[in-house]
Amino acid sequence: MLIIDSYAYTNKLSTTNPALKAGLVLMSLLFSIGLNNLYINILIIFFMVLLTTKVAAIPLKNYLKILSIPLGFLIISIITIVFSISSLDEFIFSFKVLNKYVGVNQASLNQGMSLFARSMAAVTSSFFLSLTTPLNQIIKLLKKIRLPNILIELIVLIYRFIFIFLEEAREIRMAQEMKFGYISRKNSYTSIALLIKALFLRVFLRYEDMIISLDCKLYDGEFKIGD
Amino acid sequence: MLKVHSLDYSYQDGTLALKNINMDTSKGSIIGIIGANGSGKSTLFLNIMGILKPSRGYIEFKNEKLKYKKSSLINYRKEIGIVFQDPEKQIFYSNVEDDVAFSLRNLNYDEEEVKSRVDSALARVGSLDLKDKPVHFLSYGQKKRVAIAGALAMDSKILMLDEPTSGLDPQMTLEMKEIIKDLSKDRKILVSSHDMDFIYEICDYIYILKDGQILGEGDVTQVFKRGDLLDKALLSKPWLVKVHELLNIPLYKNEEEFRKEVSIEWKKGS
Repeated sequence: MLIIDSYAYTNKLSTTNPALKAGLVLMSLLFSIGLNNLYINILIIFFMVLLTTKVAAIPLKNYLKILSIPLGFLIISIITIVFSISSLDEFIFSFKVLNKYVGVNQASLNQGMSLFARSMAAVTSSFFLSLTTPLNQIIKLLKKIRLPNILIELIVLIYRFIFIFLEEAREIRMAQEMKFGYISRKNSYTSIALLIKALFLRVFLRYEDMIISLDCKLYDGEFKIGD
Repeated sequence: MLKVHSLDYSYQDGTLALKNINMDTSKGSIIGIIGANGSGKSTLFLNIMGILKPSRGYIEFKNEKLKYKKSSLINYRKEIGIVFQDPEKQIFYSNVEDDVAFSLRNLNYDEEEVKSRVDSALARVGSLDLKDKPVHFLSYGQKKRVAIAGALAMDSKILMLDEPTSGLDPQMTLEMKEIIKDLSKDRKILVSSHDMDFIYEICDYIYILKDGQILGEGDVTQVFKRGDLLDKALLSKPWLVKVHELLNIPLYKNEEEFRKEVSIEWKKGS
């Protein structure tokens, strides 16, 4: 089971009006991306983190763990923006590699800071929504704002099948682990390859069974959702 | 209402999966189809649903031969529902309510009708409290109930249940018995299983299947006394039949009856 998903159903704001939460997040996304003001963005980050961890009561430790995934990508890209290479030493802080200087100057530092704050503001905002609002509520909301049916259908089906897929993968992995499939690096590689193969096959078998079940339930080409 | 006439079914490679199957569902109200693993129970169900087309023989419904045109199949499947063994394979939505409503919405019922039918279907399997739960939070037994509710929503005259108790704990099995007994009040039920105690308690007419052929059929008490047939089909007698034969006591239909009578006998004896 996905930790994000289980929080979405168990946090203290899970029953709050989803339109309210989505509206708030939409506003903060607009502010952070539209205004691009460093201080406003930092404010948004604080606000969203507090809202998620204090008001919705998502444990801080797990919140940081979830946040660390996008944070990792973000930090790597910020580093590549902040550091630059030049033959002259024009940096605030630098070190010499061969006969070139690698360092940080004021402009790139400012740019990196503002980029970081902006992305974090956006990430914490969207995390607030995904951690506090069950997807089934979001789907109803999307329906209300008249998103094309085909997109909603996709979301509905993907959301259901992610869990079936994860469950199958977890079962195969567990069975492999019990048979020492991940005892060494070489073993792990073969096990992973087998796991992918088995998953692929199972997906096809399940697909066939589901077609039968769809036929019995009089499926006519569209996954309908109520209001 | 539903009959199967000398039906053969062979796989694409030519192996015969079902051979000369004759069934008449008017012979009982809960009809059991018993057989060992791989005896053809599920294949038979798929043939009855019109998913697989028999290579010989035919299905008769309401005195008419089943046609395999899309429109006639749709009309047919409005009146006959099926619940497969694995609930994961027949639940498509992550929301219980939407899933139970699936076939109703496929037929474009209006929302009000959908809502009331979903509620009564869920109530029938005792799962009204699951209505707004996400499916991936449910236990196996709960998913099984939701799958049944999904078939019940159509309110079909015939309901087929493929291995309804497989994988269930004793308590859930007991509840499943009650659910099926309750459902049989207003529809015909076909149930396949290799849980002999379960079948003995709920069914009134039995077909024994072995290697794709019907080995024997008859009223439940008659069939379960035929030890030779059951052995041949790799099945066994229900425990109530066993104690009846071993201890020379009357044959009881369920555990409750047995307990009541036996305790009376016991008191008399001591």
